[in-house]
Amino acid sequence: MDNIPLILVLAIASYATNVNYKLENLGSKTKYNYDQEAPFVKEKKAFDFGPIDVISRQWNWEFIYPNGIHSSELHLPINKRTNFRLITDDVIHSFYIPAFRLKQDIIPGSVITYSLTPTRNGVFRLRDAMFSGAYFSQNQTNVIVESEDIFNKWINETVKKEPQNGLNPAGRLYDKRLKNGNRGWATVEPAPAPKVQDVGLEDRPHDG
Amino acid sequence: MLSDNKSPTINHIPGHVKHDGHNMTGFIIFLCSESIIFFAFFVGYGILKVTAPVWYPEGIDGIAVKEPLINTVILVSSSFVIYFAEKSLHKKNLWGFRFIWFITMLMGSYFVYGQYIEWSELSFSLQSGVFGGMFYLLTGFHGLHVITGILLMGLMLYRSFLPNNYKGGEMGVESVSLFWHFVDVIWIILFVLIYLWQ
Amino acid sequence: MLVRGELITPPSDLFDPTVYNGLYTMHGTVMLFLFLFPMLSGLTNLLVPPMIGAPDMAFPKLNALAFWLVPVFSIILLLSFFVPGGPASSGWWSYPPISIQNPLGKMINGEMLWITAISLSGISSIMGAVNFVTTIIRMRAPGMGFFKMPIFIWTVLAAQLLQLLGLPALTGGAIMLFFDLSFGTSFFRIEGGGDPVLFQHFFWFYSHPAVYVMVLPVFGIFSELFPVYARKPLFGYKFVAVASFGITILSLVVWVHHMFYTGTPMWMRNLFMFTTMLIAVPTGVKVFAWIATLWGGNLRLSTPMLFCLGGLFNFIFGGITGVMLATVPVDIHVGNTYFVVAHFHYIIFNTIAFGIFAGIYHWFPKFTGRMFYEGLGKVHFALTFIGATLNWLPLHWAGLLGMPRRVASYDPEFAIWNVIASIGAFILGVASIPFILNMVSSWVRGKAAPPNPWKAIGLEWLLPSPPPHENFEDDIPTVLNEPYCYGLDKPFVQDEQFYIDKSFKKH
Repeated sequence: MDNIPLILVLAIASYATNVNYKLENLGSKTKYNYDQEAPFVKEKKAFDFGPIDVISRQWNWEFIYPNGIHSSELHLPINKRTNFRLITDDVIHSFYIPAFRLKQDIIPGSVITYSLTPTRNGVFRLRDAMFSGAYFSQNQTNVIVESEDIFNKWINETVKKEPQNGLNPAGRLYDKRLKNGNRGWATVEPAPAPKVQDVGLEDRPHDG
Repeated sequence: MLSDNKSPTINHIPGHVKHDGHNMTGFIIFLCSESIIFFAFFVGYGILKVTAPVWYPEGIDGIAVKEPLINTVILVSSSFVIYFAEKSLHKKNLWGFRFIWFITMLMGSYFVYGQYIEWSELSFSLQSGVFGGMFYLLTGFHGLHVITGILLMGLMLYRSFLPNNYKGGEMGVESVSLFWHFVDVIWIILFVLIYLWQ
Repeated sequence: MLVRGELITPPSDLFDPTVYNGLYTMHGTVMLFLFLFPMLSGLTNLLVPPMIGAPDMAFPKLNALAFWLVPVFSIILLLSFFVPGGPASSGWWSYPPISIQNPLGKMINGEMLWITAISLSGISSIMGAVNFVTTIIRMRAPGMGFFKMPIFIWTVLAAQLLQLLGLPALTGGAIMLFFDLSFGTSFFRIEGGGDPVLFQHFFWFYSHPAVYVMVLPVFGIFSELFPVYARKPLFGYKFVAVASFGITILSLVVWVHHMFYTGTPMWMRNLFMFTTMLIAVPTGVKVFAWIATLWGGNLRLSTPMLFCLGGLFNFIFGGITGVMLATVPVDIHVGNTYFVVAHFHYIIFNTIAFGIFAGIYHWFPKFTGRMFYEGLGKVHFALTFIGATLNWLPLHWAGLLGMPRRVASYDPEFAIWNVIASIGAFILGVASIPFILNMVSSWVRGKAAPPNPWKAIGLEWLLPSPPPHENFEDDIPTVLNEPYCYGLDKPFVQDEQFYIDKSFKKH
């Protein structure tokens, strides 16, 4: 009878290992000198699209596309394996999209490559899942998965736009706090809003 | 069962356990635990050395080995010296013990002095990147142990002048001697990691 | 309760998010280091000497020092509420770089006091552990070989060895963190080439086993109490005993399961998934043994037994979610969400705290010499069980839906689960009233307790209630059998009747 748990857990673990190899989201993790730019790492596998740079900060997100578009929301083409470079400017954050059931921490001083294939159209939340300080819970944005045509249209239109201040709810809350006499416990100042071509929509209705 | 019931076991023999000599057990357990802190530091050192994108601070590409090597030889040989001190005590040669014990203390003090000289001549500081921090953390933490060892030896030397000090055994001397061997072994690992693995 | 008060509505409206962050950090730290650890050390300290027939701990002075460090670090930790900038607010993990950001740039800050308090608590625990291990190895009653020790003693030994092996790693990490914070070193600071993930390894190398340090003695309490209240020998005594050490050894090689999504390479994730899964095996052995002990037993549903049964029920549930979390693909989704919060509260409160309550009720008559009020005890159990279930069961759903932990505000879709949880938390708060009432009033004027009110087997039950200062003094019983021979015609010690009579006489 004592063997039952052993057999059970070994079965679960083997199955899970199998799933891990099937998903294979995590690419490489490369440390780099902090003074320099994050290096490009050559990937072994081929991807349909990318790499998109995911820049996380205290407390906003910025996405930089291969053609130079800066965006506050993450637009992805459906059914395409997309490659990311996860980078943080300050502390540890986590790239977590609950609807995709995927999460990857972003480590300062390292660039982590990551890939995934979205399979459903819709708007999903991207939430920072590794505690990152005062406005941690505001560090969210949207992931928009759309058909290839719409995605390409978005790329071509956005690239022509002028950059302006992107989504930055933490900055807004921090300004409110300063106006109310800066009460509460100490916090670092929020990073300024990123300059982006697509500002996005903060309360966009989301599917998950 | 009533409390005034005359017990049937009139020939009861009380059970006894002697409760002494735990100190050594406790001390050994403590040393094992203590070694884990050093072990944690060593592992941290190893991982950082292998993975850090910058290791030595700017303008430095290694540290001198010669003076620390002399220091090492002295500290390691003091481990043999303390063994003879202990042996003299076993033979009830009290003055012999005090003399050799004192020599061990001198050797330990020389090591600390040598360490001080080395520190004062180095061109990098605690804040100089990850190597600077690791170097001073490891040598400093070990140095604290050496100083503790010398102070404990001093205490044991003082106690050897108290009458009847060794009636209850030589636990104190044995523990300090064990501690000294421990400090020595740690240093050897440390020396290999910092000075030889460059 | 303030934490739950804040989370009852989605936006952060009760206080500033910085205050919430400080509060949840302190909640975790206080509950672990100022409540659970000292409670368990206290209980272990009371129980170990009489259970093995020792007059006292091996090093009474060291014990006193370890004890008095508790108020010292408690005060340091609580003082941090009053320093400029507030207390530490980077979670009880205190991960760098967030923990070394030090926004005000002052030398004395909440985080620094936090590290100091945690280090002192570590020193106190190490002293305690040296003491417990020496006492158990060297001071057992004549005849009490390792396989005649009560399971509680086995689990204490396993847990304290774990402290000795794991805690120094955390202390090492804490020293380095302290240097980074206060002296400008860069062990974990990327600007100087450090590695923030290294701290996570140090932290979890101890802090995962820390859970086992707490849960092992509770397993011990379960193993002691089930035979007493089921009137049956403990099923598979030797397996249960050895399984404790299986848990100790395995728990030292599972820590990376807290770091499945920190960029840990695939082979390492798979390896640690297997080791983590393996720990379910010795734990499963114990669970099976308890159920087999209860099976067909003559159950007495008194307050301690109710807490044990409730704890076991919750533990099985928490164990299953634990296996789920150990599975990498599942953990990648629910890790760092409310699912984890729910899981570890099922272990830490619904199992460990339940076990502690069971232990307190079970040994209360022995150490106070008074009986407690059974009715109040049952009310306490009912409220605690309902409150705890309402509090933590719904949070599993919030986590599965993707609500990250440690948020001061959340999206409206998670509201329903949080409202239920907050109600549960308030019931739990109310539940402490009958407990405190019961303890205080029965200690002052409860019925006098006989030496062995539960008809339990064990050296401590051969002592008068409360036991004399040096327990058995000059006459320590010689142990013949393991202490679980309920219903078997095997005497526990030589001249048992003599000691039973003696325990009445002293009274």
